[in-house]
Order: sequence, then structure tokens, then C-alpha cells
Amino acid sequence: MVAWDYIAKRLLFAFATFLIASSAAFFIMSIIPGDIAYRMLGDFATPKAVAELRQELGVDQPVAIRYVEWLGNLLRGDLGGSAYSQEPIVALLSRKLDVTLELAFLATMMGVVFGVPAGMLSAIRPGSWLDAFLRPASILGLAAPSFWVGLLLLLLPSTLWNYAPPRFEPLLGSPLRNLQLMVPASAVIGFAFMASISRVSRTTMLEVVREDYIRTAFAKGLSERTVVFRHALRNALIPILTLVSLQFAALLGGTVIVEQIFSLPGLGQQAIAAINTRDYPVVQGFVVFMVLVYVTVNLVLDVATTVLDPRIRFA
Amino acid sequence: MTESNFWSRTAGRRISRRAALRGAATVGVGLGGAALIGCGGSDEVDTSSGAAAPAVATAAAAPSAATGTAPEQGKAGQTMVSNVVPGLTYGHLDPTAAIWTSSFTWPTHSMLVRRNTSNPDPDTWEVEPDLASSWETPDANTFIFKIIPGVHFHDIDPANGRVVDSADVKFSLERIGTDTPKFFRKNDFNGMTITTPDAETVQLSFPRPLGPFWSRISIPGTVVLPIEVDQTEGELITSGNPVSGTGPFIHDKWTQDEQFSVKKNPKYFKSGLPYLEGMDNFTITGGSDAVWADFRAGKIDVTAVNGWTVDSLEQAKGIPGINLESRVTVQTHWTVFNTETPPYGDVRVRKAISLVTPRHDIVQIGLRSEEVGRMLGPGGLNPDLHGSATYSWDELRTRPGYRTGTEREQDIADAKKLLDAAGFQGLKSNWKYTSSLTAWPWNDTIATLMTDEFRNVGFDFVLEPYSYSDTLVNLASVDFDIYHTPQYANGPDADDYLEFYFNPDGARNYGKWMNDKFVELMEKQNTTLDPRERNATILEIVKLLEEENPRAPTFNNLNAIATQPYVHNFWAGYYGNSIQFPDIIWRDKS
Repeated sequence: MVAWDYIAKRLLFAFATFLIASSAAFFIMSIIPGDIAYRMLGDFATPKAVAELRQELGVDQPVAIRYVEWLGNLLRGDLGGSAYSQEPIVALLSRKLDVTLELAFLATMMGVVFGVPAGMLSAIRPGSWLDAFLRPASILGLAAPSFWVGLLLLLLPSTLWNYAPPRFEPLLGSPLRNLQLMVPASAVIGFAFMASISRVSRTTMLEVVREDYIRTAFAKGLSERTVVFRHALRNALIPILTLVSLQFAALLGGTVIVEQIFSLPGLGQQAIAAINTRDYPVVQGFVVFMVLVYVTVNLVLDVATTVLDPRIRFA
Repeated sequence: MTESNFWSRTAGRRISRRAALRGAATVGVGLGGAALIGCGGSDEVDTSSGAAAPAVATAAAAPSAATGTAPEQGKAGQTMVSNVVPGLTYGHLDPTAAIWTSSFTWPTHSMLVRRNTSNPDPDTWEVEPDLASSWETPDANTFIFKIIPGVHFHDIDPANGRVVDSADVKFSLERIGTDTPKFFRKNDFNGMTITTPDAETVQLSFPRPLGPFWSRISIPGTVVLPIEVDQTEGELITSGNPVSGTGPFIHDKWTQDEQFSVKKNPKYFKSGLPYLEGMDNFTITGGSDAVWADFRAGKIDVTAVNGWTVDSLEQAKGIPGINLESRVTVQTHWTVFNTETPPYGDVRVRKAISLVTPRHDIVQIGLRSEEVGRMLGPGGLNPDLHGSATYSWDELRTRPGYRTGTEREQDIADAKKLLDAAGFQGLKSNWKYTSSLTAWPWNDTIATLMTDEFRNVGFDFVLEPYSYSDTLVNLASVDFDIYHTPQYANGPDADDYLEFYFNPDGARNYGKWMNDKFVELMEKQNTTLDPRERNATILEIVKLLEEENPRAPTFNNLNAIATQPYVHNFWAGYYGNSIQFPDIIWRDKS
């Protein structure tokens, strides 16, 4: 089987995943009490007004019909607009994605830059004082809830030094001000991420350094640096890469708590707002986006794995 | 807090002076059919700019005149930052559709007249000029307004700096009556016909007197929009693009749920004013901790503490130099009965519930302070807002259901008698309520307090919490027997409460209560122009509601506005977030 066949097969699988995920989202939304008409009318949602608005918005149609209609539009490349604000969904999500993408990227970088070396050092010097420090630190990172860490990062500087990060500004608009806010925000996620990467790195490195080929490498007289970086790390990287990729994908939809605490207008906040307002088109747009992200990440991951370990083949 | 605030005292003196300056030109709503003489003298209008609003210009000069001291030297050139933007979540930028949305669009638009908010006498509805320079009422059903000549819309789309004329006023007032669900105020001026004899005159005629006329014509939603809005925006202003108005500030930027920014309109003010260059309003989503972190760091100058607790109040008081001002809200927490469902169809049961409601405990234990909230009388009316139309605070404390000590024991005994008379044998059911998950952190405690108390008279309620949005769904679909929830009135006028909560066709009469006497009295107050006479009728309605109890009010939670010590002359309106006297506000954070 050639690579293109494999990719085609994965894409077909992705389409099936997308259908299942979007259907699930659509039908789950439909069974939650209330709909967008109630949310839009708020305090004055009389049954008559709700009926009129539902008709106007087209949400009085059966769920199945609405779903098929939405799917048909999607296949024509039309995600539609927000029922709430009428803003085109592609534009809406793109606008929010910039923020979340930056947050996820920075958090991932922090996790990788600090987590992988920490795990490695811990593994190649098991039982050392460094290992004794890094292991509980990583457990703390995993155990501390992000809302708690986030509030701490916000409140401590404010209470002690009357400092608060600036309000959000786009990276390209004002890089310095942007980073003043985004670095602490991403550190909240990065801290937990770093902890999990460190744990996985340590475990896999410990397994790898006990392999025969590592012992052989040492027996050949190679330096520790060469053995660790050329032989051990390369083999240990596969599960780390898998973790990083999947975490990154998860972050694109899962940064909502940090976005809330730091008032970041990101994708997570938008998704929650859309769910709360029962803005079906936006929720569905979000689902499409997340499926695409996961499928793409998985595909890239599979290809990357074969590069790292040539023994792995498509079949 | 309000009483001890320096600026509130200053402003209070200022209005006395201003009222004196204007004399007959300042119009009280209570004048009924008397001729109302135009006001806003031409000496106060900066005609050199081609446009001005005399009300604001007058306010600028007033403090020194009032206090007899030299005018405070304001510092120019700064932007005030606030997070006072709850309305940003409404998904549109239309000040007309609902009163709430006007809470953040107020700086960009003018009304014909506006309420004299520095002296908001609850027994009258004193108004002052805004876009209208004068007005008269030749008879009880007719109002003729003269527009200040040569006022320009902001030099942005869609009006692009053209002069305001009577057609814009006609368009705007008629637009309020748009018969679609999103226009909640569509019945505000029922039956009104508008004629425009010339470009600067607007005549409003009604088939009969309209009691709440002066309140409705002067609340921030009754703004004058350019007629072009009809073509550029469609039915509702939904775009994020700036829309030209005639207000003191020009709409600069709006991003839904994120930001609303305005910059000064130099044509509106006298030379050298206003001191502020603009105002930026941001949404802070991280809760009160995040707000206080920003406030303490000086990132925001003004913040509204909505749904605050004693703890957050103490936290605020601990910030050096902070100015705190409490604000009356139009929010009432109620026990709503479904009067079509037993046992709540029986007035004796409803009244028993009201008598047993532990209102003092709710305030002292649930809210932990009268600084956070207060008991509220029948109909949800509030003496601070509605004056003699309801019981005063002192009177309220003597009413059954509002008393303490042995009198409270008497109320509980009376409740038991009422329940016995109704043949009540005890009831186990759900207590649906709006939970603490949303803006009311004390709601779970209060639900426990209430249901514990009701257990003493035979109601075995099981707590069933809902978010506010789910509450609205439950209420609108009449999926409840009894429900404790906060709700917002559609305006500050008593009619805006009573009509919606209790009228058979009222949008929030969820419990389907009907009463012929109520309808008759409502009709009477609605067609009475004299405010004191009207308030007397409303008081009759209040007493009727006290007996009938279609809803049992529990409390009204206050909001607070916090300002930095370097912000001067800030004055928050009690409704929405309107900031009064924008020309004299300034900040000096040097």
C-alpha cells in the first residue's frame, strides 16, 4: 500500500469521524433545554415572541432537517453565519483562533523546552537530588488546577506589587504588550503541560536507557552526550511527540479557563458562549474545526513517526 | 456610601443651583397640562461650534457656582478605562430595542430630553434639555418639541455630519414601536402620532394622556438616530461599525463581548471641554478577582461591582483611596407563583408564603449586609426609585412579612392560619431557583434559608438550582409551580414594573395571574399625568398586590461603582451605566 492510499484512507476515516462528531454535537445541543430564541429574547421571552423568532431563525424546523441542511451547505463550502451576531463563522473563528493558537503554541513551547530536558535529566540521573526535586514538581504541576494557578498568577503580583498584565492586544499590533499578557497566561497551561511531558519523558527515557543498544553504545566508548541525544532521545521521542501533538490539538479547544481568567478573546470562550446561547451554526463550525485539527494532527503525527523510526511503516 | 461621597454631595448642590438658574425653564413632569416653557437658554449653547447640547454645557459651569468656590481645574487629554459593559453581550448595538443596550451606547446618542439625574426626585420626573431646546404641552395629549437648530450628527456613517432635523426624531420615535420580538419597548408610546410641521419642530399626539410619558421620553433608550439607519443597518443595529449619533462622544470601536470605545465629540462641548479624550470599556471575564487585580494595578479607572458580596466589598474597601458608590438597580428577586397550579392558585397560600419569607434573614445572613441588598416591597417597587408610589423603607419594616421579633412570630402564626383555612395538608415539591452559578453568589444560601423557613409551615421543598438562562426558559415555558429568581424591570418607571410582571398580557406574568381591579387601576395610573395623583393610584396597586401576592418580592441587590482616587467628578446613573456630566469628568494619573 502506498502512502497516498494510506492518506486517502485516513481522510475517509476523518470524514466519518467528522460526521459522527458533528451529528453528536447537533443532537446533544437539540436536547438541552431552550434554544437561541430564548437566549436572544432574554427576560421578555414570551411564548409568542419565541415562536416568531424561532421561525425567523429557522430553528423551528426538526433537528434532522436542520442538520441535513447545514451539512449540505458545508459540502458547498458554506459554514454560514452566527445566528446571534450574523458574523460569518469562518471570520469569527479565524479571529478567535489567532488568540488560542498563540496561547497553545507558547504553552507547548514552554512544555517542551522545560519538560523534555527535565524528564531526560531525571531519567539519566535517577535518585539524584535533581530527580528528587523534579519528580514532586511534576506531580504538583499535574495536580494544581489551572484556574488556581491562573488566579495566583493574577492576584499575587497585583497584591504584592500593584501589577497586572496589560489588556489583550494582537501579537502583530503590539508584540510587547501581547507577550506581557500571553506569557503568564500560557505559563498556566505550560506548567501542567511541562509536568506531563516531563513525566512521560522520564518514563520513556528510563525504558530506553536500559535497552541493549544503549549499553552497546556505551561499550563502544561513545560519550554520554552522544548516547543520550543520538540514540536514547531519538527513540524516546515517539511517545513524547505523540503526547505533544495531541495536547496541542486539545489545547486549541481547551484553553477556556485560562482565556476566562485572563480575559482572552479566544476560541474556547467563543465555543462556550455559543453553547450557552445555543448558537448552533457556531457550535457546528467549532466542531468542524476541531475534527479538522485532530485529523490533521494525527496524520502529521503518523508521518512524523515514520521519519523518527523507519521501522514503522504505513501498513 | 452614596450619602458620604464627596461628589454626590457636590452634585447635589450643583443641581440646586442649576435648577435655580433655569427657573421656569426646567420642567417637572408633574405639571400636567400646564404649558411647559422652553429651557436651556441660548447663552448656554455654543453656537460657534454649530452644535451643542445645553444640558451638558450648563453642568460644566455649575459646580463652582453651586459651591461658591473656584472651579476645579480639570486635567485634559486622558482616556478613562472601565469594565462597565454588561450590555456587550446582547449581540447588537441598538440602543432603541431594549433599555439595557443603551447602558453602553449612551455616550454616542442624544435624546430630546433627559432626566435630571442629579436630582432624581422619585415623586416627579424632572427633565432637562438634551436635543430639544424647549417644549410645550398645549393640552394633556400633545407635546411639541423644538430641536436645537444646527446640531450635527457625528461625521461618520451613516449620517456623515449632516444636520439633525425633525424627520430623524420622527423616525427614531416610531422605530421604538417596531413590532418584532427584539424591540421590547414597542408598547411604550402606543397610539402616538408624530407630525413634523417644520425641520425643527416635532409634535407628539396621543389619543389620551400617557402617565409615564416623561420617563419614557427621557430614558437613555429613547435616542435620536439618523434616518439613514433604516437603510444601512436594517431592522436592528447589529454591525460593529460605528453609527453616527449626536451625543457627547463618538462611537469609535465595538467588538462584541470585548470592547466598546468612544472618543470625544468636540462639536458637542464648549471650548476646552471635555477633559476626557475618550472612554474605553472592556469586558473582563475572569470574575471579581481579575477585576480587582486590574483595579489595584490601575489598569481600570472605574468598575461596576455587579452581584457583589460582603467579602468583595471588604476587599474593595481595602484598596487605598477607592471611592465606592452604591447604586439602586431595577432588579428584583422574587418568589414567582404559578397561579394556575394548586396550591398556588389559592391567594391564602401565596400570602402565607410571603408572610413566612425570612426577608430579614435574607438580608442579614444571606447577603450579610444592607450594603449588598435590601428588602423590597410589594410589586417590587422601591421608594428610592418610585417615591410615594410605594411604602417607605420605614413603613415597609412594619408590614406583615417584613417584621422582626414577636411581630414576625405573629406573621408565621397568621401564615399557619391562612394555610389551615385553605385546607393545606403539607406539600413536598421542588424549589426551583436561580443558582449562585451566575451573577448572584448568595443565591444558594438564600434558597436554603427560605426553604428551611417554609418547612416550619409544612412545605418540604427540595432545592433545584438553574442557571439564569435556563430559568428564563423554565419561566417562559411555564415549567414551574414556584420559582425564586431575579428579574429586571424594563425601565425605572413603576409602570415598567407593574405592566410586565402583573398585567394579563405582561411579558413576565409567567404565573398567569389575572385581576380585574388591577387592570382597572393600571389603566387609571397609565392615563394620569400628575405624578403625585398617579403615585397615589400606584400605591393602591401596591396594596392590592400585597394582598394578592402573585409574586412575593424578597430583595433588591445593590450594585456598586468603584472609582480610582485620581478620577474626579465621576457620577454613575442608577440605571444602566450612564455617566452623568461627561464634560466635567477627568482623571489625573500623573
